[in-house]
Amino acid sequence: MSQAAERDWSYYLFVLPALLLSACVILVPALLTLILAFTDWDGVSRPVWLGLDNFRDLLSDITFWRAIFNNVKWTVIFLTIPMAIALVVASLLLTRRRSQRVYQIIFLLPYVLSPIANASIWSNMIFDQRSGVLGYLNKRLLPMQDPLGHVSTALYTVASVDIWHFWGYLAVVFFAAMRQVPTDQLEAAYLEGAGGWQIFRHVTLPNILPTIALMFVMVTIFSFLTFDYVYLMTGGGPAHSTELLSTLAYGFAFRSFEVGKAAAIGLFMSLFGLIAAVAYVWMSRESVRR
Amino acid sequence: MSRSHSPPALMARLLLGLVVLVSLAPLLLVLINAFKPHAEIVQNPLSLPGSLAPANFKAAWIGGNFSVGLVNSLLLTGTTVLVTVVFSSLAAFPLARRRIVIWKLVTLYFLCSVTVPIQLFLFPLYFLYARLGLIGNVFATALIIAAINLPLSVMLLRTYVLTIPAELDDAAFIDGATPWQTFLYVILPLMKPGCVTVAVIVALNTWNEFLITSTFQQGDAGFTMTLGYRAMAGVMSADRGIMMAGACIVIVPIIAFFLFLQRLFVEGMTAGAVKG
Amino acid sequence: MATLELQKLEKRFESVQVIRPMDLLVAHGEFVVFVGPSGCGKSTLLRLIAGLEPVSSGEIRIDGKNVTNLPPVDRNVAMVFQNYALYPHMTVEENIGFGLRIAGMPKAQRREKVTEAARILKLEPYLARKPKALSGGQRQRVAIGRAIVKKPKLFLFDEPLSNLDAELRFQTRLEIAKLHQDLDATMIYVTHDQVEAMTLADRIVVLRDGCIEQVGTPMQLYLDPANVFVAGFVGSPKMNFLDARISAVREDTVWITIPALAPGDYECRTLRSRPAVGTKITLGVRSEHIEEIGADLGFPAKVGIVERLGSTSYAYVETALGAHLCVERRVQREDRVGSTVRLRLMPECVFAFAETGERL
Repeated sequence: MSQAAERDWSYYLFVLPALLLSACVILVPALLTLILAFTDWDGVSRPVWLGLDNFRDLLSDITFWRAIFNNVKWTVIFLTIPMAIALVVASLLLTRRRSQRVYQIIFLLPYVLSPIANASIWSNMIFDQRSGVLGYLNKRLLPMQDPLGHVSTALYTVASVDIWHFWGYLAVVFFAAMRQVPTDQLEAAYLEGAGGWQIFRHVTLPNILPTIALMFVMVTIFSFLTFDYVYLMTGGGPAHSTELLSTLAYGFAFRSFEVGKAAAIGLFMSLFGLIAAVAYVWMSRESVRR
Repeated sequence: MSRSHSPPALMARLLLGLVVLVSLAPLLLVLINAFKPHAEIVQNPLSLPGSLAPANFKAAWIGGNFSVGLVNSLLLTGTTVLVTVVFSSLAAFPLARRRIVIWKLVTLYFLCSVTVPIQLFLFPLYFLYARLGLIGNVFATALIIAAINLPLSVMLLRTYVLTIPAELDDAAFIDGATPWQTFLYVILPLMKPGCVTVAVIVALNTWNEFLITSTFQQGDAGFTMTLGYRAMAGVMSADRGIMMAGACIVIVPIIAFFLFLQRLFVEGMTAGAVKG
Repeated sequence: MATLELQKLEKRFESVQVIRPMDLLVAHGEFVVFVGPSGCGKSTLLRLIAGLEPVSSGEIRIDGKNVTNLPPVDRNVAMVFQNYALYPHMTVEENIGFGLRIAGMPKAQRREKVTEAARILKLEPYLARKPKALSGGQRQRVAIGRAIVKKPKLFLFDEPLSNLDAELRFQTRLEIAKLHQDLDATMIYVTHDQVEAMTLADRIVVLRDGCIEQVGTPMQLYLDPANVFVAGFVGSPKMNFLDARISAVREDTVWITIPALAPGDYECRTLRSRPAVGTKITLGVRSEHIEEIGADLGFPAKVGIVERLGSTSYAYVETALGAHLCVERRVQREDRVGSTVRLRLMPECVFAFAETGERL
């Protein structure tokens, strides 16, 4: 028994570097954030204990609710549009044996590019009134306003850029999942006379359901964490119409130096993420067990 | 013949064509406009360039301080990849092999930390780094990005180690190998493809990374290529041509890297999400 | 070579008792086979002896030395795995020499020993190849080479033939038998295939549910099974079993009624004890111990399916009262389906087992 125990001890050393780094960078600061959420801190002087004041302030701040609402809108958008497009395109790729690889590369190109580059391209070359395509169209053909500058359209505009960036990843994942559908099931259905749509609905879809479910959860989690594109393209404006929890927190920390409030928002973000994360962990346990 | 021209097949082709167009059009726009002077772009952003003069590119390279940015990007990405691959391959070994409860908890910790928003730890970390004078230090920032990439890498490599038959561990044990020797001589060589995949994914994530990099790499000397471009885009917004040339400089290495290694990318991306 | 001794060896996985307290003594140079149905614990037992699993209680002694808490390398054992467990990224030479390298042996000396082992197993032309470039039989030999190069006290084989096709299995079986002779080594071999057990073993250990059911030479197990499980496990085709009852007990023989065969009493001369009249028993008789007899004698049975294997045939018969028997027919008679034969059970060859399974 002692020999087995000794071996166990040396195994802990293997995981030590990773755990240590993760603890120092993520765990400890996260715990600090938990505490900071109950204080008023400007990053320099001593934090002042506030109790629940930050939370009270946030809950009565209309911008905060705006941000939550925007996050929810964002989640709904991302759970529908890119998922649907990805599913359809992935199933179309199944029959194109030779060109599959080429299509996948093309679809992934927007995904692999830096958000800074993507945001810049769309902001300047497409939406911009002076140099962008929309501006061009506005001058020559149809009256078209800058969608980023209008309260009613800004969020959807930024969302579409992120959809352009992200959907390729979903398509590739779904495609890989569809390719794993056992061919004998497909053949059996075909022999029974099922047509393309029926095969998709009754054979393919049930088989890739775990993958779809996982993507569902992932998209939900990341929708509440999303930051880059909004920050780069609108900074939360105009008039907080694109304000998300992440940009709001960032603003509180680095613009108005109310780190306590930023921490509180961070907690809210993790709350939503935690709910989805529990589902994620439960589901990956299930699939590992299977 | 008639099958490929039937209405549904035609629609499928149209849809795919449309998707390809939408995916590539913005990139093509960047390319053609990188060669045009600003006035031409404003006139008509959709027109082809008159000449392929590299004037914009030269200006962009200087304006974006890309010589410094390139070095910083390489250092940042290199360090992050190294740290991530080494730490996660080490960690993946016991997580795949050992069965007592503690290991399940560690696995759970890593699974959960995938979902932690950066905002949950960013702020205290920033002010801590500031106090330690590590803002702008490429290696210190690399540690943060490595920590963020660790969970997924560990999970990916763990799945990889699970495919290595445990019998090999037994054989090595009977041969007298300690766990470290088993890892070094048996498991690690067999993990190489997995490590390469992880390296590629982490490299891409780090190169493109924005939030952490922009927060911690403040000050021109510490800018990565993408940050340098962003600064330039803010300052030189008057000249779209130079801006697009800068975007090209930032994009092209990524595209080249991606095209060269696309199989590994796809493999890594789908590994966790799809069974088998 | 070495002796192996197990003293009150036990193994528990969490709350499940996998190996019940077990005692065993293996002599110098013996080839002992652990055999039993899946789940009986034979592989676990082998792993305990190898040192791959810690024991829950009890002792293991190799050559008198208590190795219970020692790692495999200090026990001086070598193991050949079912799936070969060759290191895929190493050449044959590196595979065979890995243990020596870990032990710190200098390269020149390693090469010498590896070449010697390769010569014995005719692997010399393959030393620079990787396992995936080898056939199944060659891989198995590399696995054996890895074992013999260490000059271990004990060789352990974990179902080494299961992954080979029938032809290769036969060949490799002969090679292992020859290896045993050449090396004069103590070998412990695990299999679920009783034919392998019968052909290779000096002694067989029959296991079920973590218990030793019987230990003996192949012939002992065949001709003198200790209980109904061993009787049914060893020998192919399987022994015929019938429900029966003791009807009378005489001095040197016992009379039994077998309801499913035919009215009347049957003689049984193999009982070692004197059970009470009326005791319910299971009667066991092998297919070669049911012989044909003249009309009006024995009991009648109708022939169902006949399996012809060349020198022998097996007729599956059914009696009027519903008993199914497998009968060996050496005579080249064409048993026609549906025909009736008259059969007799040889009294010196039938076994009686109590309701608990013990041999009476």
